[in-house]
Amino acid sequence: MGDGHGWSEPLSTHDYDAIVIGAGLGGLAAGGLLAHRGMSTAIFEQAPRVGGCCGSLRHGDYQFDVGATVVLFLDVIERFFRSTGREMARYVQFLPIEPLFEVVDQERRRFQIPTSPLETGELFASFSEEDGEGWRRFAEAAESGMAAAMTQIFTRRFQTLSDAREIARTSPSMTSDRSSLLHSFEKTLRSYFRSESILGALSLASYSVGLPPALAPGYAAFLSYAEHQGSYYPKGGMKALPEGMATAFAEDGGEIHLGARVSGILTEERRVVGVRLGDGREIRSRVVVGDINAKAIYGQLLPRSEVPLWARLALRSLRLSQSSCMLKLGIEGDEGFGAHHTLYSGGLEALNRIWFDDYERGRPSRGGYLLASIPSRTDPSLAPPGHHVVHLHTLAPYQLADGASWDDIQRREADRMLDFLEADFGVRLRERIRFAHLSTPLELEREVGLHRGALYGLESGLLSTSMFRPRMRSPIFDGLYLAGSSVHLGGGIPVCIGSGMIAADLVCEDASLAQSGSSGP
Amino acid sequence: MNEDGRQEQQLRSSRNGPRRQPRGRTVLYYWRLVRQLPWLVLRYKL
Ligand SMILES: Cc1cc2nc3c(=O)[nH]c(=O)nc-3n(C[C@H](O)[C@H](O)[C@H](O)COP(=O)(O)OP(=O)(O)OC[C@H]3O[C@@H](n4cnc5c(N)ncnc54)[C@H](O)[C@@H]3O)c2cc1C
Repeated sequence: MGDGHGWSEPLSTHDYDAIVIGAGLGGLAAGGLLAHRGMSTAIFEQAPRVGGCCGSLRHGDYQFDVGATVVLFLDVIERFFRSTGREMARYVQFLPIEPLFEVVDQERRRFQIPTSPLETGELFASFSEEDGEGWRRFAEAAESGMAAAMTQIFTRRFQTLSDAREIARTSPSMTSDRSSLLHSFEKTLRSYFRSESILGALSLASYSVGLPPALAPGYAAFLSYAEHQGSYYPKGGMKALPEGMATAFAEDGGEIHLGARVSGILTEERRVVGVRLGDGREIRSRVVVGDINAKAIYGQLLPRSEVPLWARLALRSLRLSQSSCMLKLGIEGDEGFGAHHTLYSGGLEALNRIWFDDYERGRPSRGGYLLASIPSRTDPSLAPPGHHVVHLHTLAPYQLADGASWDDIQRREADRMLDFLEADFGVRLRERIRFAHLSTPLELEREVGLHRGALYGLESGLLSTSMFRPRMRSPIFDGLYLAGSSVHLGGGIPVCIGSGMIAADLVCEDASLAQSGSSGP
Repeated sequence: MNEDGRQEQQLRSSRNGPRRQPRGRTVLYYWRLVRQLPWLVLRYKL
């Protein structure tokens, strides 16, 4: 680690104190705090809009989500706004989502999972006494840890062994079920529940750490309990969150440059000194915060010769999280859309099967599950009266095995998803479709800059999270900081905002160290 | 509980999953972790 992070140079040699690459939530959080603390800060964003994976796109009369469809852990977002001296509600408002989920299982039975843990317990008890009792134990294990710890951990450093010790000392873990640290997600979930329908409903949470139930870590099973603390949708669509953060940033004097792709990070003797834009312009700064995948930062934006072999090997050993495709539909009529999210579930086993048989072999998934999100259920302004916007998500590999391109199979895959819904769950949408577009992993990469379409940056297993992910303060380049889904704890809105807040703290800490250093004798 | 409710419950509980994760997949879980061990020091350093 260098000693000064470049802070002792006179300001006049720089265009900005800080440059942020990417206006995703991590970048907006980092930029927002830096600008609020008085640093001249500019965010360069390749897309024509802010938000990255958390945003909205209009197609005709319908407004669709780009990626994320639900917000959990609102208090992290509140904490961000408070740290910039603001009240969240003046920048973005949230509508509660109720019920959390509707599930349609293999037998085509529908049931709704409510937010209230108590009512969920009653629902599960109606499946069997064992499942009701399982929920009681599950909730207890989650609550004793998670409720107190989760939101704290999102905004705390977890990069080194001493951070880990500090966290262990001051906050309880995500769950009091210690065996879930050792076992897989599947094994953990099966130790609480028996019913296939319940296992199928709760196992989708494994994909949020980028792995199927058989391979995800056991503690991640408790993520599905997190939703019971409340799940929300921003009023006006997902874009309302990043736009609110961007407004706060601009009020504090920050600049956002849209349509400005960064093509390289400038370095001098292992210290970053600015960025090169796609049009060849060079912009100088004291620090650079990258809110894009660490694999892209070290592998594409920095000069290869300056990234040591050990670091390239470490990066190569980290796998990307999964990619997916999303069929966006504008639908006429109300029937069939009982909840903001409907999970068409083939069961826990189906999630493993499509991972091993299809996804890992480079094939689009042949069934398994579909997650429908219908945000117009919560915010009717997203579609004309009597219409809905529907997103159907499923797992989809970025690289197709047979050499085909997503551009060529887009139509066929959209049809296949509709066929699956019809054949396995009896849901017929075709006659009611007024707009359809399949967004593929390739499209997510082109439009949201998402490296190889990896939804949550890097896979987030027991040995690939927190201190086993790239550090937010680069150990190789002075003045380089990382935020977003490939660092810290992984993907997800609150975690990425937390990563940006930590990155900003690190920048400020180094700045004040350097300043007190340079004013010394 | 009425007759319909009882039938429904029987139907539901008849669709139970295995109590344990199949052995092969348990082994796979640990095997994939073991394969990452050689990289841990480098990952931690980065
Ligand atoms: C399909 C999908 C569904 C999801 N669902 C949920 C959900 O329901 N709830 C939830 O909490 N999370 C969800 N997530 C995860 C969550 O949206 C992300 O983890 C989070 O928004 C990522 O934030 P980030 O800071 O990493 O930046 P990103 O969103 O990855 O943004 C990075 C930004 O950098 C820009 N960029 C990239 N390269 C360059 C460059 N060279 N120069 C300039 N700019 C560049 C991109 O255009 C982009 O705007 C979902 C993600 C996806 C993809």
